Amino acid sequence: MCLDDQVLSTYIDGELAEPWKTQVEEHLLHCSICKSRYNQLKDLGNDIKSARLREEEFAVQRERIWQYLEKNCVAVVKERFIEKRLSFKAPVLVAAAAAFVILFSAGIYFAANSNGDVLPEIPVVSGQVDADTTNSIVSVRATDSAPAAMSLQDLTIEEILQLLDNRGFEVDLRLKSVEPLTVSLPVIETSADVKEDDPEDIPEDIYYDQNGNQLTVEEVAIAEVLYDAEGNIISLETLEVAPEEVISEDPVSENPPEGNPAAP
Amino acid sequence: MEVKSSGYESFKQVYKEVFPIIMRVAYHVTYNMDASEDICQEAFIRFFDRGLIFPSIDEAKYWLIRVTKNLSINYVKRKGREKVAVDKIKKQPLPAAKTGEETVIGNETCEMVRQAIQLLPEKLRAVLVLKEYSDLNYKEIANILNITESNVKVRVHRAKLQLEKLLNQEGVHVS
Repeated sequence: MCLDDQVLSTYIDGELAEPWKTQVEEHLLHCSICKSRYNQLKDLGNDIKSARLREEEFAVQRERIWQYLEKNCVAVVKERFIEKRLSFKAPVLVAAAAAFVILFSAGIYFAANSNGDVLPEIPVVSGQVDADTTNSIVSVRATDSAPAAMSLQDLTIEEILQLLDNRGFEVDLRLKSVEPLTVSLPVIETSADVKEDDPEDIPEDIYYDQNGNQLTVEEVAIAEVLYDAEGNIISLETLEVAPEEVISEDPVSENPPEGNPAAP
Repeated sequence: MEVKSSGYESFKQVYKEVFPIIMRVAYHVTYNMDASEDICQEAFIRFFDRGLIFPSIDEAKYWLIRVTKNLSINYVKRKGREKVAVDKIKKQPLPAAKTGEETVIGNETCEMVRQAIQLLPEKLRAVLVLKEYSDLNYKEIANILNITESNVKVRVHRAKLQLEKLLNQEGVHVS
């Protein structure tokens, strides 16, 4: 029996498992028809590979994007997390308020989950205090060997956010005066706050990012996108223009039109 | 090795290793160098801003590829809609999607393949691009696209068959 295209294709991709791989190899030695089809597919594969974007074709972009990122992202991270956020042009007060809200909600969360296995417990005064009431709480904590005895104050905001994030919560520290990129469609009104630098001759369609830089149409369109926790994108546009497309976009519900992959 | 997307060293390393891959993904899906540049930059900004922690650099890579692929597909869809609208007005046949500047010097086959890939439906295109230009295996692609491995296998093959057909029509297939 001869090999079908799908098997050959899988074989060429190097994805055919044993024992089929050996069987295909043996078959190709003897069957000239399959061998010739194999060569065709192999050539096709080489043609496709030859179209690969080469390193030198994107060397400029590689450098340019890195410069942008280094200037706008990574350079800042060398400072402490909070300092980084505060050094943002918004007033310190707003940042402090945001931090407080985060701490506060984190506290509520911790309290509600005090039996959680991952989260550190807020210290409970242990029996040692009863035994020796002259000890201050601090010294009790210092001598307490229980590793879980740490309080919220022992954690940086970054760690708290990390903990919440690890538990699947979508936590976002935002400064009020700064518009996030991932806003919903009617950006025009919200962007009005940011464009006060030059209120007069700005056409309606101009958008700004967090740093006040003007966004191109492409970037704006990118901003008009929602994504879920995995970073998968739910296009707002798609939602509005063609809701039925969204259903077909759902990767879970996607099935190959013809079910059997090995069908001849 | 744990990878922290907001950490300086991690970020630098991820950029070094993953940038060529997502640049290829963006380019081979959109076939527009400017759009690819914007998309890659956006993907890395999101990567950084999210402050995620990945168990390995591969996981970070998959995340970035997923985001890049989604941004690229969105771009293509939007372009497609714009093009349909424009074509309706102009009542012209679909033009070749390339401008002179984007056309990269290469051999003829390379150009034909790149143009043929643009004619693939987006689902086949994404899978083919991940397979042929991102050095990923079926399992990794399945993971990134959240589909089954056999689904990946079928789509890769279908994409190749369609390409074969398109290239044979053009008469450039060298065999």
